[in-house]
Amino acid sequence: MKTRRFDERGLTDRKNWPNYLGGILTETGFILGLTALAFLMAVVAKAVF
Amino acid sequence: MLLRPRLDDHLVIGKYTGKVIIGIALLMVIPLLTSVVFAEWDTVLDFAISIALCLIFGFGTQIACRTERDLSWSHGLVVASGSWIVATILGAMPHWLSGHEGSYLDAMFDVMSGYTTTGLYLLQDLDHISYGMNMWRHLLTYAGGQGIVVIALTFLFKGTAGAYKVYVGEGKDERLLPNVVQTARAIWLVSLTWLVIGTVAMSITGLLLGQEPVRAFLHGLWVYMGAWSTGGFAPQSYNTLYYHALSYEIVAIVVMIAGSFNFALHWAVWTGKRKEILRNVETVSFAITLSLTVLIATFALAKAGVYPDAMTLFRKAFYQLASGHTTTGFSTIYSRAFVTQWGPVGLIATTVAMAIGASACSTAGGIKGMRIGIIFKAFMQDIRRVISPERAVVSSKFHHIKDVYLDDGLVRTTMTITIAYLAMYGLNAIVGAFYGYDFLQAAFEGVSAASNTGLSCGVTSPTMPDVMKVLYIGSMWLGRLEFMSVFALGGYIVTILRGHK
Repeated sequence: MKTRRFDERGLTDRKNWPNYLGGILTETGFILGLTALAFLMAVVAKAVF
Repeated sequence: MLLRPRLDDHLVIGKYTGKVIIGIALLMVIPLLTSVVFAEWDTVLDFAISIALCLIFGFGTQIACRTERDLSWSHGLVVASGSWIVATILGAMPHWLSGHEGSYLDAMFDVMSGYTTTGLYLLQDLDHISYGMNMWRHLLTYAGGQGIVVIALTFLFKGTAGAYKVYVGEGKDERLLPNVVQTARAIWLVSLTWLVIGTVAMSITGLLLGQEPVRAFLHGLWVYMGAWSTGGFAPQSYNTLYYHALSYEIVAIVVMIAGSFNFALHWAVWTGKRKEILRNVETVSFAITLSLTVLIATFALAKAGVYPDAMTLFRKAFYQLASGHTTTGFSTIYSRAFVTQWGPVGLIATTVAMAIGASACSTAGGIKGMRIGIIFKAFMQDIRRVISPERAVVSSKFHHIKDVYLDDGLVRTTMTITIAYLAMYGLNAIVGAFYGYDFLQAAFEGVSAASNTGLSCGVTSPTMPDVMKVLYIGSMWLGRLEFMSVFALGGYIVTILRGHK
């Protein structure tokens, strides 16, 4: 999906917020991915020992 | 030949330091109002006295240091490091007046720990301090994470030329936008947006866990501040173990890792460059080193049979390691459990995670993922150079917002700062061992202080030697400002004493 060009003149302009929200969701997804990987490690470690 | 600073140099440094202290006075109004709401009149008086002292200093310097001269680069560095010291001395007043600190040194330790987003504390009977005091502790760490100077930049500085030099001196040297004041505002926008989301998520979680609405909100706000600023302060002495809830831990993990991201990365991802999070040298480095340290600790703990099932193992291992690596300092185990349950391998894995730390230009401390990435790339480049034909041109690049080619100057600067961190970690460990602490525990605690993490294995306490308290205060300060501006302040003092007219 093509993202809209950021308008830096008005940081809190309403039209920027969908873009900001997408950024927050991307960051959260990345962090939850690392969390899921750690859970997988714990499952494997418990299976091994 | 060293030149002694002229009167004009002192005036410009005094003037800008005073502005930062006025910012601290304004910040104290929030805990004062909190105490008014909860009718904590002793605490109201403590903050009224402290605000008065800050305003006397701040406006006193504005009157005494009248000058039209703007800041030079060296002035900016001196103001950045010097204002943190003055802010610590004056900011410790409410702590000391509260009666919860053993001495003024302990109060200064806690305030420096707050500003530097470390999270170690010497305050006694934490579970019974006032709401106003708890608000102040968490505001300290939130303001420190933002950068005291960023706050002053946003509200108090006119013009941008001098302001940028102080901003760089505080270790935040990236411009998100062309204008430095707009950059400061963009940093605020990111932080305040996460503040709303994080506080609401944690408050709802607290409500679902059975907390009263006001308590759920305040705990949500404070734990958010501790997580986002990677500070690690929490309103209860059991830290986040107090909540005993997976939901609370997951929200805290998301906020503290997000808080450890470079503000430039936030801004890139927020403004449409979504793939940056998978390409950036800092996030790649962080994902690899976090996963490796979690892997080591998880398998060591599983082998030792410390936790009964995979879920408990995951919750304990990942939470402590994510907290250590982001330099937050939240914990869901007792301090001594690092020694009695985790053993040497767990202790070393956590120490390494804390030593590396997270991203530059964020609220986090430690060596930083960017430097680890650059050193790794430089190492690989050298190996390629050795195995390539003699005339081959070997170049290497890394990605941080844009592709950046490695050059010798960048690698040298990176190595200098990294060696300075390692030397400070080593010094803290040796001094701890000198005072009779087990070397591994002294190293853990020393790295925790110098990397601004705040995890403790029990060394930090009001009964620890004063020399170690002073050393940790200095380490937190040096680690947070990444040495250069502190070295500039040292140079400034040397030129006053030994310079030529």
